[in-house]
Amino acid sequence: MTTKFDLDDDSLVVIIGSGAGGGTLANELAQKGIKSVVLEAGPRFGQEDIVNDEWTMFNKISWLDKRISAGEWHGKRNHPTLPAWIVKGYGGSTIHWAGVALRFQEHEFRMRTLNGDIPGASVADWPLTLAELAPYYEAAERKMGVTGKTTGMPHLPWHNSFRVLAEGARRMGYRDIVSGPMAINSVENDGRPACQQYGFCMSGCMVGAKWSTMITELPRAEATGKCEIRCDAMALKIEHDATGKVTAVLYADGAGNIQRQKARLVCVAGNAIESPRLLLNSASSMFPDGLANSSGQVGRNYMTHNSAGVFAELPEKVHMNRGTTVAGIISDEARNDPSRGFYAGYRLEILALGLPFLSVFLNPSASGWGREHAQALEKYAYMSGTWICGEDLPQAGNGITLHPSETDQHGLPVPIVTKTPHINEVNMAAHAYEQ
Amino acid sequence: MSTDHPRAPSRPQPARRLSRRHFLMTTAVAAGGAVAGLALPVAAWANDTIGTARADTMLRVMRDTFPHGPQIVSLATYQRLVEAMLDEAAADEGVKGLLRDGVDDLDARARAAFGRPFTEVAEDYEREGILRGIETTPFFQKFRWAGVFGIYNAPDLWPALGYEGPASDVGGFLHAGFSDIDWLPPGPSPEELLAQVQR
Repeated sequence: MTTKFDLDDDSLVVIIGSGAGGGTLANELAQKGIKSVVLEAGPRFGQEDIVNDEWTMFNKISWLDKRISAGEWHGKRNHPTLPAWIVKGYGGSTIHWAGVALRFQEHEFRMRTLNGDIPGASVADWPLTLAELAPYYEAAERKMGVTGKTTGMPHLPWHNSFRVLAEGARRMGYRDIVSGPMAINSVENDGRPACQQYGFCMSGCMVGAKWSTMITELPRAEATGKCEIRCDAMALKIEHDATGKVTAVLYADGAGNIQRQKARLVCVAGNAIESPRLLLNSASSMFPDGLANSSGQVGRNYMTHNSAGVFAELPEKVHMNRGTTVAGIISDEARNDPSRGFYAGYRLEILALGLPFLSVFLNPSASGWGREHAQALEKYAYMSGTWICGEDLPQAGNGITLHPSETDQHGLPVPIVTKTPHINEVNMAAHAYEQ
Repeated sequence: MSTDHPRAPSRPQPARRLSRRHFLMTTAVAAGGAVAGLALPVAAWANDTIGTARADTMLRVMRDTFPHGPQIVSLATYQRLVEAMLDEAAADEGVKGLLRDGVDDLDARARAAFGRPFTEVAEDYEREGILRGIETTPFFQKFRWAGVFGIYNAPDLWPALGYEGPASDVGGFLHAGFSDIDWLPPGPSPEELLAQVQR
């Protein structure tokens, strides 16, 4: 726990970010005896920091440094300075994720071959297959404790809200209705308890049934003595030598002082916004377009899911707050079937929010108020939510760029997150709302 | 620098005790019905920085933003939300200007459409219509977020709104009604769930 490496120790792997990627890598390296230091931008969190309170946790864990939403998407109007809801802290967004642990589908590796050229989108086939990836999926599912065939852990029991959605789906003729795979223990597993149906999954799991690096990979890495997780350490720039090899990472510590951590290797595992931002901010005379950007693709093709929430008032009480936030997945529309009027597919998932969040997310626009809105919220106990979660298409113009003049508290250009839906997403959403 | 996304006030916070001026305000409004043109006791908003009439208008706006019956959200609750904004205005010239100018603009709109100030526009839907016209303004959004945090995030109001709050109070719902509805088929049995994951 107390391992501290020297700033001038150039034998270290420096990992930027302590979430799903960085936290997992740190533990894998540590278990092999390879020394690393993880630079985590946010504070240290532990199980004791998690409470069942939506806004308190939002304020506590969210990445709230200034960012700018751009493009023709709802976020530009509804949350112009908060383009994504992700976490800044020990464990990263694995604290916040809902635990849905789906694999890619067979067809998703060959979208270019199956669909040909899709105007406006940069679609390519993957250079590998589902079969080649299967052993890695299985390894990840075992480590994370994903319900399903790999672990033999049954999927979670169905709560009221999923029973409502499932019945609706059955009446639609849907068949692929499952409460998993979820990285949430349905039975005691890996030293962590079974899910007690608290809900509040996206505020952080109070009992530790949901996998997050905060309670698994990071403390295990630290326990080896081979890994230091340095919190409140915001990476600013990756430095390199005259041959182009990385040598160090500049970061701001909790007091705002600039530090230089020497490095043997650097692993960038920030997130879809901060990783490209760091690479772009690391531009040098040798790499004027940013590090690792000879392709010009850094920060491009930002994808978010084609996402919408739908809430219905049922004739009897549902109490959607009683149970997991998203453990209920209907996959009948997840296939690639262009005869529906769009490429790729979507799933219908449970979206069980508490009243504090629902008062905003019922209508996240400026119009989310008034008599009708208030009357709907009075029926909270009767409401049930569905999340339409579809694939969006990669588009070169959707991505992360640096603001030309506005800077953050460290003097770094603020990231601009641009997203404009492809017509495919508009058509998919229309189909999903219809269903 | 951080985002200007609205922040919820931190919790837990003890409920603010009703002051004498709250009490006066409550009784005055209860007695007089619509606030419009009512000569409220001077004590009600006497130290207010933007004037009593504007404070009355703010209260009407707050109630119209998230209108609930008194058995769900009391008038005193709406008043507290307005008071918090007035406290903020007293300490911040920018907020003071936003509220003062916002109310004046609202009254101008009400006069243009209905020939009377906002609080005297009789029908709920008429006032909502006026407010729809300014809903994207920082002035109005201040009321929206005040209600989001002050009503729907207020634990003492949750029971009346049908929300059960923290599951930690019951140790999770697994043994406290997570799947208790009887008007739909049950989910799969434990045996069926286990069968789903056999290879």
